[in-house]
Amino acid sequence: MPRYVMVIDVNSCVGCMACTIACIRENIARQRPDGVIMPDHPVRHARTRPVELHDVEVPGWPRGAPFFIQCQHCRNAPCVIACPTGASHHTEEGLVVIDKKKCIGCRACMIACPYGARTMYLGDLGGPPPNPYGMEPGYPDKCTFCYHRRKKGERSWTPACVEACAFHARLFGDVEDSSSEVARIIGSGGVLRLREELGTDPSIVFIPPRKNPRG
Amino acid sequence: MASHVSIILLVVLTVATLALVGYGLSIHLGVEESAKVSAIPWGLLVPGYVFFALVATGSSIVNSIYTVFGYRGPREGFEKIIRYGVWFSLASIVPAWLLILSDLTHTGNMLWMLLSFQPMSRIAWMGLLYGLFALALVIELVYMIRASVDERLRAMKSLELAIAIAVLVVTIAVHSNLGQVFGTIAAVPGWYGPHLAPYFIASAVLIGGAGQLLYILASTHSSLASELKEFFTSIYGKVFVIGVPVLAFFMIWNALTAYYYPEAWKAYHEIMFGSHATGFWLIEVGLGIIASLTLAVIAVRTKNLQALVAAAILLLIAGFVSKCSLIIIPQEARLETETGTLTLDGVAYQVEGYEPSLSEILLLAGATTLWPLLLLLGNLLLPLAPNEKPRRLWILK
Repeated sequence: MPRYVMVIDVNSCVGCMACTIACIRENIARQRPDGVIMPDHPVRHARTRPVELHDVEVPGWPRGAPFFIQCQHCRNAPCVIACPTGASHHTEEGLVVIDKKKCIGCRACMIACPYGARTMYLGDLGGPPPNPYGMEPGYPDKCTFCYHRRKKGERSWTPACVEACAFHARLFGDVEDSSSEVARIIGSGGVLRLREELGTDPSIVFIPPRKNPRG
Repeated sequence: MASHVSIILLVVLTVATLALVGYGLSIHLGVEESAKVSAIPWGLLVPGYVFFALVATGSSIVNSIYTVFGYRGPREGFEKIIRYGVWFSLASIVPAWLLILSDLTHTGNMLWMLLSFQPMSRIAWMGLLYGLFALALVIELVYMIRASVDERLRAMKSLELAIAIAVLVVTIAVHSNLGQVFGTIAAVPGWYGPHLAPYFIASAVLIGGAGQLLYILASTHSSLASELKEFFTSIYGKVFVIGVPVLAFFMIWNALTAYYYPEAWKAYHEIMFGSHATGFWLIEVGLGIIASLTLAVIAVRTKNLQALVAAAILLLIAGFVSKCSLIIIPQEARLETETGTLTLDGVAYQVEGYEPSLSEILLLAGATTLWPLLLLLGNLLLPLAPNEKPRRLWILK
């Protein structure tokens, strides 16, 4: 059974937000001949977005250092447990995705996510989403690891944010494949997963800052 | 004369409800500007839903004093008002449904709650339990109405008790599940923990009893009200005198447990000492605890019905305000705790506090006018008064 994970090395991240913009282009924005339509505050709705913590301590994370909020594709996902219709579910690859045909829009998944990863936009985006798992107004929205990019028979694929990062700060792959780079990095230690104490078993792995950016 | 007033009131309430709900839904579905990006997932409609759901279930618990435990009260008052009490519970759950259905963005997919039932989801159970709750109340009310004209049915005491126990069990299950909807969410520390279910029960008994008292007094003739004055001040007064300190205990307990958990304390600090402090100390504590308890004690000791009515009004106001702060503020505090300010050199979106949209306010107002409309319909159509018999269509008067 493959276990797909994303490794984010915040030491290599320069804050260019290319990942965020790539995500918006890939999953959210409607590109039409007359222009590009995006939600109000598009960064707020990006499926990976840079944030800065304040008034809260994360063990191993220096205060003031940025990190990214996005779906952690938890193996024991609180959003999947909270969903009353099974709309939020795991794919056969273990990714958390939303079946919009079943979603009633109760937003219990948004409430249940301990990472605050889900958003819902209620405005009009004037057209169908850019891909079958793309953002649709009135439905909860979150990262799918660009699940629409996977091709039958291929072992892995490359999410848009990983493709866009020029600094190799993001890696994606199967941690069960010992030859993969993500397996090598995670095996070498020094990585951190957020809020593991909740038992969510998240699939986003951070390489935390080696020094406090604020000295 | 009285029926003319009722008809006029019925028309006014119908028009008001249709206008408020219709307009509220139309701008909700059209999506007003301010609601495009909601700061929190569960806004004003959810506290409104919880309020009405607690009124309905709390009233059902008050009914059980008679239906399950067999206490008739002074002048056998319960026997005279019990059909009003059951109808009040049933009619009060409808505004709760209206609000929660209005809050869903894709109500049309609700069939999947049955087709793909998720036993781990508290919301899925909520839907099922509310259905059972309403069904049990309908059965109880029909039984009571039919038993008033059917000697054989009246003799089946074990059936009557079985129905009453079923209603009470479903009612407690609803409270337990509602407590879990909020209390099992580790992502919102202000809610997380086992304390919410007993808090909901205490609050429900008070606001359910308060609403029921006001409805029965408004529905019955003044002669019956004065005949049952001792019953009202004794039963409802004692429910308030016992219930208010119990509620106060749970409020203190909620704050104390939050105090030792910094992420939860953020929410309670905001409720007690932050921007909502006035609402908390003035309305929830001042009116909802101190003033209502004082008035209830006066009502019980001096058999003063006016004091009891004043206590009931204060309890309803404080009950609604407390549900708003309990449900809204921990979500706002969670935004702070989980994500901090979303900023990267001022590029990104700044999370701001929640303010209800116009559609949410209109829908809440519509649910509030729907409530007396349904109660009035019950008074006009159903034989709820003492000794009133069904004459048409089996249960209609």
